[in-house]
Amino acid sequence: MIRYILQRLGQSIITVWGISIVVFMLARLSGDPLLLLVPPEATKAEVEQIRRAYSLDKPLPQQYLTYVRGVLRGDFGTSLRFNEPALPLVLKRLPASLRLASAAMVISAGIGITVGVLSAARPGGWVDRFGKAFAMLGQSVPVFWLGIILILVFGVRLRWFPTSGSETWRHLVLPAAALGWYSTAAMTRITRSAMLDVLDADYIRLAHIKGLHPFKVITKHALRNASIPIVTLASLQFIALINGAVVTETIFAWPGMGRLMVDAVFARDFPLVQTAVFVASILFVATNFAVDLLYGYLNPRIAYT
Amino acid sequence: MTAAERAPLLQVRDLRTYFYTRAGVVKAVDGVDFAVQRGEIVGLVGESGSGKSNVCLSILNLVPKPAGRIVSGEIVLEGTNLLGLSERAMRTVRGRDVAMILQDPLSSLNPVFTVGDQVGEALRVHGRVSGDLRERVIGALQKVHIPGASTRLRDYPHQFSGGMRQRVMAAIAISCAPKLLLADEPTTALDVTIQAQFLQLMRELREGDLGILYVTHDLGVVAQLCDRVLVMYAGQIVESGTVEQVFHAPRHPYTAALISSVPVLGAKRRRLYQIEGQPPNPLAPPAGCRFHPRCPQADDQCRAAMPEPATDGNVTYRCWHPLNGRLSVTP
Amino acid sequence: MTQTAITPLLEVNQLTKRFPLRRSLALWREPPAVRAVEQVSFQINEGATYGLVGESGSGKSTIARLVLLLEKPTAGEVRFAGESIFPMRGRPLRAYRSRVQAVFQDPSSSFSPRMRVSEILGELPMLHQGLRGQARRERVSGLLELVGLPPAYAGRFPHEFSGGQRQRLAIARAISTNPRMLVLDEPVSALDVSIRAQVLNLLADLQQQLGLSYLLIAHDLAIVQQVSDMIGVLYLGHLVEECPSEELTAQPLHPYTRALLSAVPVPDPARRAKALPLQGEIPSALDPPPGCVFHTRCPLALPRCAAEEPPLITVAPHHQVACHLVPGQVSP
Repeated sequence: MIRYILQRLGQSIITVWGISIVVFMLARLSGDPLLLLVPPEATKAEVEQIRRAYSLDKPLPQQYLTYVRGVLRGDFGTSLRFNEPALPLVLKRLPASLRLASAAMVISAGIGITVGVLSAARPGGWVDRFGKAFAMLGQSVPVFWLGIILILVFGVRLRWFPTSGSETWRHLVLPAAALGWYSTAAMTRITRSAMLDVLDADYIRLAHIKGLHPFKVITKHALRNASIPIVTLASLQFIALINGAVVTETIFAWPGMGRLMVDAVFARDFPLVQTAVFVASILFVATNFAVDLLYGYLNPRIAYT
Repeated sequence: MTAAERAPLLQVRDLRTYFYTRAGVVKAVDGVDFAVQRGEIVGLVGESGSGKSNVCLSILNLVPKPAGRIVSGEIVLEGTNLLGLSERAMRTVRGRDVAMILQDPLSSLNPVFTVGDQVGEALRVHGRVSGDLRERVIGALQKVHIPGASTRLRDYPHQFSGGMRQRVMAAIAISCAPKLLLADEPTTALDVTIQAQFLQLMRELREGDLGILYVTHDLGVVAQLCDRVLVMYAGQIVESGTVEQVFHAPRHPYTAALISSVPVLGAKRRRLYQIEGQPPNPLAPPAGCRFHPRCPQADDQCRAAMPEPATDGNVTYRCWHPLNGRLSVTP
Repeated sequence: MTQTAITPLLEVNQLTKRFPLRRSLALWREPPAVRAVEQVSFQINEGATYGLVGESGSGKSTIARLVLLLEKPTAGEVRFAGESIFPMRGRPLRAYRSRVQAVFQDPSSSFSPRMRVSEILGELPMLHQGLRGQARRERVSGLLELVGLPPAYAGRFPHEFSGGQRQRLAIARAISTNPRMLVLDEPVSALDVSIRAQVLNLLADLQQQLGLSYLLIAHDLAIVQQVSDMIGVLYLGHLVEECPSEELTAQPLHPYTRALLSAVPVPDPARRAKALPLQGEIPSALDPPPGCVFHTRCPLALPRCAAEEPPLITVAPHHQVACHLVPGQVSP
């Protein structure tokens, strides 16, 4: 088990290193970054001066080393738009994003797994039919429309929840619901199909033969075996929820990373984009590492080979 | 001795298990009668689709729903008709009074739980833990001769060899000291030398009062292991009796043909006796005797009417023209 | 006598196959390998059947895959009609592939479900002999007739057949290239008992009619003995005994062969096995025992057996055995 953890950790570190190269290269490949830094009316001599100031006249490997050294010190460059260090800007937005994504995840996993399990237990039953309709609705209704409806119904009319801001948990409910619905549908479908596969297995038959209660058969023997695809999807959804919540963040005025990143792209604020991409990638690697550890726990065969 | 003790351990009467599919009704088990005594090993032989596995699932009332249904019959275990029990009461029978071993030990053990957990599960469910559960689990594993039982509790199924996994299955089955053991082709996935070891284990387990219904397609296993044999064809038992009687003087042409078609080790090389044709279509079994399209001596009577079970005092058979004497199938 | 009459059709010489496992980070160490086949040699004569028996892990299927060029050997060679097969490229390779065909255990997974019988059986004759149109149709119905299926079935799909019929179809496809040898890998073990005899008899008929040679791989000793001329017994990748089919039961010499024979359940309640044939299980091919590979389970093992690998020696015409106790004192 320890060997497995070390292996995965090593792989994660190598991945992060790879990401640093890709992020570095992207900025260089998308044109001369200097042209973004200098005002259009700058003279040739001024351009060269700035180039030297940013060490952009050095060969690429050396530039990369400088960049890595900066990264290791936590220096990701300065945002062009805000004229502040880029990293704190991104990190300031991170907790709000994580909070929103986690809440959305709790909603989608809670509802999705429950409905999926119940659907698989009785294919064609009322939960299955309701779940299918729910899933279809979830994947066909656009988030902005759902968000507006939620605001109108629960915010404006019933006044149960505030419609914007991020101070208390009550602020979280509506955006999380809007954001989580889409992935709830996906979670329902994957849980249903994974469970149907597993419920066909011989060890499920053996569990019934032993005299176990059907509820125990499903919650103990089936769900644990069906969990690998569910966890895989959940981790991908989680990453997508962190970075892809732009529309939700906009509608509910939620100060998350999605909006920061989109704004930075439109403003051609390259250092900020780079930093945000890097932080998002780290989150991705970290999530995957956590999921790998979870796999090892969920399926002992993975950790032992 | 009371009447209940003299009665057989298991008595199955006129069992009919049908599957209602979109293509029609499959009469998987169609009027089956047999008994299993305490301490007896009864072989249930048949080919794929003959209904032998569905007999076992019917006894446990675990026929796949909603397509499968037990349409009629009685399954009496020590005086209690299992088909009259509620689902809740049936759950206490499963695993405690009646246990079952499945064919493929790898896919029948849950890959994500330790062997100790899975062996102890039935004990926990049925509250049969007097004293230490761990000791009981180790005891069950030792009874099926798993070396180093106490250290292997925390291992997972994939860390066991095929033969050892099937022993784990046996340990699960006997953990609650059942009265009846159903074994559904338990050695089909095993090598011959490992199979021989497993058959030896079966003989040991029945030493007490355990009755075993052993399902197989292998006539060799039946001859080596069983006291009595039931031969199934297309949902019906076509012949039953002691293995000596049935193997040495079969009355039903199907039994005789089956025995003659199996190559025997050490016999002279010869052209094998072959049963012509294909097993019947389960959706539309032939009218009359179900074996008549493949039977070398079928006549109009066989084509017209289904023979009822008849007995000569030793062997019970379903045939209008039972054979007399040794394995003589006249083509 | 001509030269071809003396050369056996298939010659397997010192064939060895090891499957190396993934290298660990310790590059200085030899990576562990599964020793599937170790220096196995045998020959198959024209028109004869050679049966390879052994339990799982014996290497019998690996040998079949090597002969079918589905694996590359670690060492050793296989000659077909005198030609070494592993270096073959281009035209000789294609010729070999059409001369040696295979029938596998599971007939349902070896057909494309969307191809009709006429396409399945017509494909190879078209490819190898350029048969088209009427000639191809005639060939297809001829093949169906050969394997005992009605020619009218040419328009059907594989799923419309029963298991036994599908195996007949697999045999028809195998002989569609006019091969000289078939590799039969567990050809009847997935079939019902009442169907096995049909297929085994069909194979015997085809062998006579077409003069085929068979390499038969099976775990069922009774079937192998019933069908084969020569039998090779494999244990953990090693050929431990080879003898004519009749001598296998009459005069088995290797303790493993004897154990295997006595483990086979005989379908006769009057001949019940008395003692357990073997204790324990087959060791891992990753780490086979030193000396004789069988010594860990052998009831007769001597100290010498753990130290020294016994060579395969000829004890009678066509009868070879690899055991330190042979000849002479093998009887317990």
